[in-house]
Amino acid sequence: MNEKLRNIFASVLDIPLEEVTDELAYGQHDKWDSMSHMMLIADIESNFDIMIDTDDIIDMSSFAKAQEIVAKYESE
Amino acid sequence: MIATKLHGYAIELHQLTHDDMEQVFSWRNQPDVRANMLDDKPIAIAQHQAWFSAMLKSDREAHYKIIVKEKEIGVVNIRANTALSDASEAEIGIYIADNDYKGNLVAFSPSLLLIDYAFEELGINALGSVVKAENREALRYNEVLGYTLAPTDSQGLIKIRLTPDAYITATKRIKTFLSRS
Repeated sequence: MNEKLRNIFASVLDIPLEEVTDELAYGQHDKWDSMSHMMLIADIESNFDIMIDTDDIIDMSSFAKAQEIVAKYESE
Repeated sequence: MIATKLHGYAIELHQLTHDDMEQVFSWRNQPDVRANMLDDKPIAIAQHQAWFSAMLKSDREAHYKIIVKEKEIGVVNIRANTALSDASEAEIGIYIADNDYKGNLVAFSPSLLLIDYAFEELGINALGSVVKAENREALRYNEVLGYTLAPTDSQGLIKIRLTPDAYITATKRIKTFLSRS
């Protein structure tokens, strides 16, 4: 799951895979703004076939947090 | 009668009361909040108290504290040149004082909620404002909401304007993300 998620982040944010670390954070990287956040959510939902709640969309503030959230939905 | 409470998009808006005077004074004087104001000088307590009391009595403006998960994070307001209930044009302003929520998608919620209210309940036809040209973050934020930007004027300011049609088109996607259970 983590590699698939890393690829989504790298592709949507248009950054090298090496930059997709747990510390990658929303609002702190130039490429991860509100528009790319929405694109990330859309891509994650279609690739993992899940629908993420608003609270989790808001909480997805780092790549580490994104892994936790996607794992939670995959286990449901 | 202006709404005292609004809720949606994962937040609540509560109209400011006298009890909020000190909190708002503190927020308005935060350097990062002041930096984005047209008048960015520090605000004295007497000046703030006079402004706050007049604001609470005015029918031309309404100021709401923004509450996310029971945490108060900033203020959003709407102002017009006439009583809000009669206004056809108005201005919306916002500041997020809590660093945890700056730049977060939920920072759009207060504007979405108040713009919905302005267009759908107050019957406002257009919203306009003026933003410092150097404030790229605010300009980008407003573009996401559908505002159009005029060229920078000689004072380094940019007039922005929003119509209901542009707003509806621009915010379809963000509203779906912020409206889920």
